[in-house]
Amino acid sequence: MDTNRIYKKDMNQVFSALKKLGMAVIGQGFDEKQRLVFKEVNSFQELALQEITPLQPVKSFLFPPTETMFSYQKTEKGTRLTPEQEAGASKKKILFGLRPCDVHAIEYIQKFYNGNFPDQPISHYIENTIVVGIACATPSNACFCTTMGISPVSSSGADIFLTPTDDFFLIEFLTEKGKSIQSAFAASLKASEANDGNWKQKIEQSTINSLLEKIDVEAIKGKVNQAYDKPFWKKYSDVCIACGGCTFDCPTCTCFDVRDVMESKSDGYRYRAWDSCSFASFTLHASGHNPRNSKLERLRQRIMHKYHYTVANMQTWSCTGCGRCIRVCPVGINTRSILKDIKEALHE
Amino acid sequence: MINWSKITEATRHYLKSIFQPGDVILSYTESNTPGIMTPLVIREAEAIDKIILNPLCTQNLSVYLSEFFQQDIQSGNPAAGKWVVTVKPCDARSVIQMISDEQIAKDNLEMVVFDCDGTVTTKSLKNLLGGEIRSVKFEDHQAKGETLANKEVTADLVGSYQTKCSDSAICSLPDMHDYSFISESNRFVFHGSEKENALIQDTLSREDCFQRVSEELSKCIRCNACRNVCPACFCSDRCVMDKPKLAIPYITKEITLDQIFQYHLIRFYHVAPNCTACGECERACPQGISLSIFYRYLHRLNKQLFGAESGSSDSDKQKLLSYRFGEDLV
Repeated sequence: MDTNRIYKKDMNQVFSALKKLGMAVIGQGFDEKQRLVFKEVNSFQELALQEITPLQPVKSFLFPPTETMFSYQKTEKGTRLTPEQEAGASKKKILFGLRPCDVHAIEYIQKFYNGNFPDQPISHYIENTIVVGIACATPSNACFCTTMGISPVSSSGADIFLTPTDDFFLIEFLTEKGKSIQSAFAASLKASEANDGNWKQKIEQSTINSLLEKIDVEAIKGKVNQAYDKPFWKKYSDVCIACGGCTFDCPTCTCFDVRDVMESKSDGYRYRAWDSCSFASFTLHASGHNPRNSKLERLRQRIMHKYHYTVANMQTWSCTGCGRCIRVCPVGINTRSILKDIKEALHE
Repeated sequence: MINWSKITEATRHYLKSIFQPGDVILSYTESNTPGIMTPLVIREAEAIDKIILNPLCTQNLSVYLSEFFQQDIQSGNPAAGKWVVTVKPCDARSVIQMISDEQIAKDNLEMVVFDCDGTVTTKSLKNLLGGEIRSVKFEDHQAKGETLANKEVTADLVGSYQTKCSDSAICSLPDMHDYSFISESNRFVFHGSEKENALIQDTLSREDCFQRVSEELSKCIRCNACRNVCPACFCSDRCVMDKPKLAIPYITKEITLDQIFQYHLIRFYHVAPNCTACGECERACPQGISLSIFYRYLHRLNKQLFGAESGSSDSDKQKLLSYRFGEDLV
């Protein structure tokens, strides 16, 4: 694999070349109120790659919070359906500077939505997106990627991968998609030097040293269902307030709700919007019966989904250890301690 | 200045003296992540020693009370003992308001208010310490911590306390007739410095105000965190927002600006008479929306228009419920 250097001072040149290719660059930066978010950026200086990851997940650029699927108009000649989903999906974008946890999350979303019944709009969003990953040198104290088996410098899933140093990035073009925009970088690429191969390891070591703890989850893989009836869930459900913060900020939560809106007798539309298994209305049946009526059942469902059901059905954890659920929880529920409790319960 | 380890010690001591088997205590402890506290539900006397009180105890524990009492009523199996809740003075106002709204029963409740000279959110603490936190301790208005990069930092907390801590209308003790207060000096002192926190309603024109509110709300993702942490929102699973299945719903689930406005305006009007401006909605918001635009304004309107201060006494009834025609309002 060819590795090149690209100097930070040359990045604006790259950004304008990408603009010329008709690509929108999305990366983490500060909004007008100094909140760290993923947003469209025009110059390299607008990026804040040295910060921790934004709380807001990058999935909203691939799986919009709300999307009108189609609208209908009833006329004398019949009913006309107008599909409305394609517009956003066909826009070409680059997600610039995603940490390995977020890159893995995109890989998961892609896998999830391309099962037996592929979700076309989401596939289109992903097809038209180029992912530029970056080695993570600034974890938060909630991060636990290594627990979930992801290295902070893993380039798997990325089209292009960057390793940051003080004044340059090491850049690797990993996939065909990545190589398709290599021309925008070409003018600024410099040859790498002999010791450049060590940077990645150095970052990996220092990041792993900063991570607070690693839980050995291999021991519980495929067995989490045995903890289904253990008493420790109550400890967490007692304090859970059943908001959807953790699910909406989770980069791998994929649930949505589909509803119809009748605007007039002849017009209306169907939309889909993010939904959350923390909400009581999520599983509410038309009869009034709710199979997951208590907070305990709903909290357990979320954890079981992440750490058991997808392991059983898709052979993968649906958690990348990004720590957003821990950072967002208004009542301090900690996914890492739930994992530890599961492990402990299985050992009893 | 408050010595938090003394307050913690005194609270544990008091709770041990009143605890009977069957009682349930609500308090705080440290979570697994440094810089984040979590509520603690105690059912055994031994667990009282897990209680830790410090300026990071931001959560308003009163929100759990209505839920526990509802469960009691629904299960037809009332708690064997009493409910004990340890709260800050600002949160005591929420408890008092819930009693006045008949959401919880006073006779089965023991409220223990602990002295507090300001709380700081995890987010401001991180800003203050200049990075991700590995460990943190509190002494004399100071946070002493270590960052993930193993750097030792000491920072002054004054100036970083939550907005409500500098407002004596929110940071004050309610009518404490039937409740206990734990402090070193046995009397409540307002520690904040009264800051003039101008609201956008004062400084901006109607149009600019609408513009600002729209900008803020456009970030909303409808996760319902503001509603679920709110002690004034006690409809639990019967909330109107959870009924998008009605043939013509009041509100759809779309995350679009008009539906977001609908959501926040419904909430604004619903909590108008009983919001105590505890600020939990703003703290819990994952998107960092300044919900104070709403609740601080509400607090002031209530006082100006009705002479009402929510949460000051459990025998006061909401003005909207108790108003008699012809009565002078202010």
